Amino acid sequence: MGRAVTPPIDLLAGGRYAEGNRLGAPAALWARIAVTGTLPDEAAMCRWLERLDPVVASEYAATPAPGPADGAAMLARVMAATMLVGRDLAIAIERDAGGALVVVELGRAAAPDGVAALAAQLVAAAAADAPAAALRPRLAAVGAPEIKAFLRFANNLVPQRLARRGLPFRAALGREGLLIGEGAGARWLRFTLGLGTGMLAASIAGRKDAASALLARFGLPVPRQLPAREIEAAVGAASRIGYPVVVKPVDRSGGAGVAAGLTDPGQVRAAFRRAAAVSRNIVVEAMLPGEDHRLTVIGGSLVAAAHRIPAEVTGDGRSSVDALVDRVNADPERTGSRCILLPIARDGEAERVLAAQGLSFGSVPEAGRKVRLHSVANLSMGARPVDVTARVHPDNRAAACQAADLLGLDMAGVDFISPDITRSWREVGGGICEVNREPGLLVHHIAAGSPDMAEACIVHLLADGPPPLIPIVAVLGGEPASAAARRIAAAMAAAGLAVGLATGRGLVAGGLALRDPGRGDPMRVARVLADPTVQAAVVAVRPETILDRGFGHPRADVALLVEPDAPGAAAAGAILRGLGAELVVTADPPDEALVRALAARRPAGS
Amino acid sequence: MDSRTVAAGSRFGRPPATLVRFMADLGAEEGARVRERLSTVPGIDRAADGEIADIVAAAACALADAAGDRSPSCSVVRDRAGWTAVFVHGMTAIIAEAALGAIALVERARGDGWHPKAFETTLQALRGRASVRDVRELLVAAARRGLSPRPGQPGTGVLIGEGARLGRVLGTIGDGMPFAAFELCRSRMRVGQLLDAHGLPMRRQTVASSPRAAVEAAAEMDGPVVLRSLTPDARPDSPVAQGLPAIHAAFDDVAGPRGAAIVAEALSGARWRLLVARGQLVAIARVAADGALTASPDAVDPGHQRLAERAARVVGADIAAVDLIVHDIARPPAETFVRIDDVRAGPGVEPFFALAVSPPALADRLLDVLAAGAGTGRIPLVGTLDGGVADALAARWSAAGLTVGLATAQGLQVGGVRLQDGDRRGRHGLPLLVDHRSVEAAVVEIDPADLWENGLGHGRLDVAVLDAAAHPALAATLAALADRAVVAPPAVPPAAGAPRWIAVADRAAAVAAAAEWAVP
Repeated sequence: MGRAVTPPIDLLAGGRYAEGNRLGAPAALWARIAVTGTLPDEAAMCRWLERLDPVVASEYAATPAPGPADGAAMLARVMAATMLVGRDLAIAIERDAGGALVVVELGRAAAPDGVAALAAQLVAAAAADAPAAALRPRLAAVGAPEIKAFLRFANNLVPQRLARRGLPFRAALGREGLLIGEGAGARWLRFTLGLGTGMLAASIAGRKDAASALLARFGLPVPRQLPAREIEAAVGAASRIGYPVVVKPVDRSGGAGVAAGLTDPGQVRAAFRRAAAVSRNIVVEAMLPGEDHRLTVIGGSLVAAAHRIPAEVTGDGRSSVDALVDRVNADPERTGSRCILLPIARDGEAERVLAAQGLSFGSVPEAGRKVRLHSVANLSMGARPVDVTARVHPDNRAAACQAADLLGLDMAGVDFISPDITRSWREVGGGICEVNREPGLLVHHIAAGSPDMAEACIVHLLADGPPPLIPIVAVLGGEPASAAARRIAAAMAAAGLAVGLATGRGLVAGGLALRDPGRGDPMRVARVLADPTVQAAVVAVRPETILDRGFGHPRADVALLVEPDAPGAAAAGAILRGLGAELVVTADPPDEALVRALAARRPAGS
Repeated sequence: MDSRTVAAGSRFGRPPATLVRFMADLGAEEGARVRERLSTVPGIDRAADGEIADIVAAAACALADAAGDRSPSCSVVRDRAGWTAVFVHGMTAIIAEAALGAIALVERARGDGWHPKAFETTLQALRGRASVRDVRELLVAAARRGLSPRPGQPGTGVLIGEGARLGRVLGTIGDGMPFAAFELCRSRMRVGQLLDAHGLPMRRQTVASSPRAAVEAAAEMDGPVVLRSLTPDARPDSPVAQGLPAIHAAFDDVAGPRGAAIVAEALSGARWRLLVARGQLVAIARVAADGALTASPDAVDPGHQRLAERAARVVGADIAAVDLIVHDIARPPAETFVRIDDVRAGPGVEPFFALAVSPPALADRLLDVLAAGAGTGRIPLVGTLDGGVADALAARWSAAGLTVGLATAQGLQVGGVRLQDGDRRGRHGLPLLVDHRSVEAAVVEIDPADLWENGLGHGRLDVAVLDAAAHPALAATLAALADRAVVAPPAVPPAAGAPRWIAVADRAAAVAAAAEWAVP
């Protein structure tokens, strides 16, 4: 037990802001605090967090301190670190004589409402130099759920670009899904899977054997493949195909259970056992000659290509393979909270691949010798990509595009094996070993010089269909605001738009009454704007709702103040103006001309 | 008996055909017995007065028809060696099996092994072997639109349309059904959470992973509950349960391998299933206690219709069945009790067809959605006996920016990339080109002998280029398969009543005419 000391931070009150609040567009947590004890110094805080969880410590260190390095800043940084997202979360601190109001953008948290209290507890524990282990369960219960650090980074690629474009988005269908845009203009996206990826296409692509058979029918270059239900059947299949072979499950992704470059029955048996641990549907496949490339096809065109180099180290004539792996894994890109590559694993597959090169982890390879540690080139296996987009031979490009077309995938990651990607598969051999229905963004993002895949993905998503933004008019006030909102909505409906309307009487979207979460709940704005039929929205909102709980959406086109002298009206109007709304003030009910003008407003750039 | 299948686009017509040769030799008494016994079977009755071979053919057609093929037609020819029945069919290759079944049926009808349910028994065996089990009305509608429905590879359903205008249909799942929507609808809880978050009236429900948790959840519901599987249709709902023993028993019945069940509030009211296609209600039926669809309502308030349409929109399914539990579906939602109970993406629709006033109209509305991406379903298709014309036409279209599929004696290429070497003329290449989704226009060289013997491999062409190699019978076949013909003398022009044709002087003119006619 640590010494009993006064907790350095007294949490006076706390809560959550919906999107559109005093911090800006993103949803946020707020905490009113007073510093009442001795804070740990920066180094002590870092050391203690390192003992608690190195990834949280890394994120804390990476989070910039807003303003003076006081208790409020420390609390804000710890709050941000426990909601790990792999990027800077926005922080605002308003200091006054009584303490401070800390506002931190909402990141990933299992229990957001407990984040501020957890952060205060962590600061207190660090100040008291209390044992860290006791707080790990609390961190797990409240903070960011378990997720691989490099996936956090990948998850941020699309949101960052959406924010840059000023496109609103919110989590939908679980944390991984994003609803991008508003009302009838909204699109759903989970990583790179949108609603444009069809069920039939995805299910064929999800079965590597079915996909391979389909491509083979049309003469696209795919390796010969034989199913193997049990271990000796796999050995028999390998012998019919001819060594070297690949053993892989047909219904798993990310390289799980895949072993390549198998050259004898013993290796096939061992590989089959590993594959059988993850799937019952296993095939033995001819090993295509060449290196692994990821060709990403979006909307029928090849947009990026990367040569994926399997995990490897380069000998220096002095160090063992083990030491060389340590050196590679110490690269900041492979460790910490913002890593983009995974460490090279020391697993059975690595031992097998080393043995095939006449080496072990204890061997000291000569200077300059490249030593492979994995036979497959997935990022999850420690591979490193190099951009080759401009160098892909047209035949290889056409094969990748046709493969995506034949499966019916709007976005596809084609794994193409080639000894030389600049030459045709008809000339040098190689071919397609797999087509992935959800091409990762990370592989191209890491490969220097690669096209921006997250941006390409967004462009594709927005290419067809209505504009992503719809007109949003917020009317601030009480009952007069509701009356004005109804008139504006009527004018919009008269223009043929399906209107979402939130007033004191409830919520209506496209002619259907929706359940109202309550007049003071910002979710009512979010609900109207999430309805897939709504082409324009008018929402009457009380100023105190915006000030106390947020607007409920990160942008608006117009904010109409019909009771400008009401308490909080000006401050709420300022928040909406900060979200991009044009502020229109009228002391009287709006006249017909103003109603028509507001009803005719369209989002900027639409 | 022996049989041989001829590919689509042959001298027997546009659909594929099966030629069945068999012997039939019955005495007068046996023949009378067979006629009498089979005359009660619909479809066979009309042949009862004909030759015994006609009865076999009619029985085969009736069997194939009932097993899911679309009304195959048959003509019967007698020669010295016996009978040859030519079955022209559309979707499946079960006609040979149906003919075997028909012969067995006649065998049973002539002897003592006859049973009034013999037809049904034979049909059941045949159904087990039928390769296509999709909704028949949809296939008929697709054929009516000229979309050439044909079986795809295993797991890909039925293919409709051609090349870049190809669509796939598996039941009511087409290319437009989002994977994410289908996945979502496999989870009652996730659908419930999503619709609830959108402010739609969902039945109250929660997941319980043990009988004890189910009892606790039921206590929170504060009333009787129903236990349900996590996925629609995995297992039937439990009866209304209240109290610890009943909930325990219900949990054991409903919880599947994952050991979890949904505890939902028990609701009174009728269950209605509303079929929504691309946001529009297309059919509605009442769901009986056993899950069967029984009747359509006299009146539906538009509010309930809108609710179902909105639920389908929110989950993102282009065809969905939305189950509502409603006290009175004729009254507005604000005046009656209504809850959304289930949303199924790509639902089974056969019962809706059984209840539909006009099954073809319903099939058309569903097909509008399923084939939305296919458009007309047609890409420019040209068949020619002259490989030089094929190469020149492909080059001309490629230069115009089209992704051209070309099948010739030298191989098969798409978009200028040689995919297969060797002879890919006619049925060895054309089916690949029309099934290849990258192909925006296709040119196929035709092997005259193979066309005559085995067919073209696809049921239509836009333009057939006829030249000296086209003897009159071949020219007539090709012209019948094409909408238009380009005739290079001395080939014989199509007969009167055949497609439009134009005579040209040379190969260059033939290419120009074919290109002009084939591009829409």
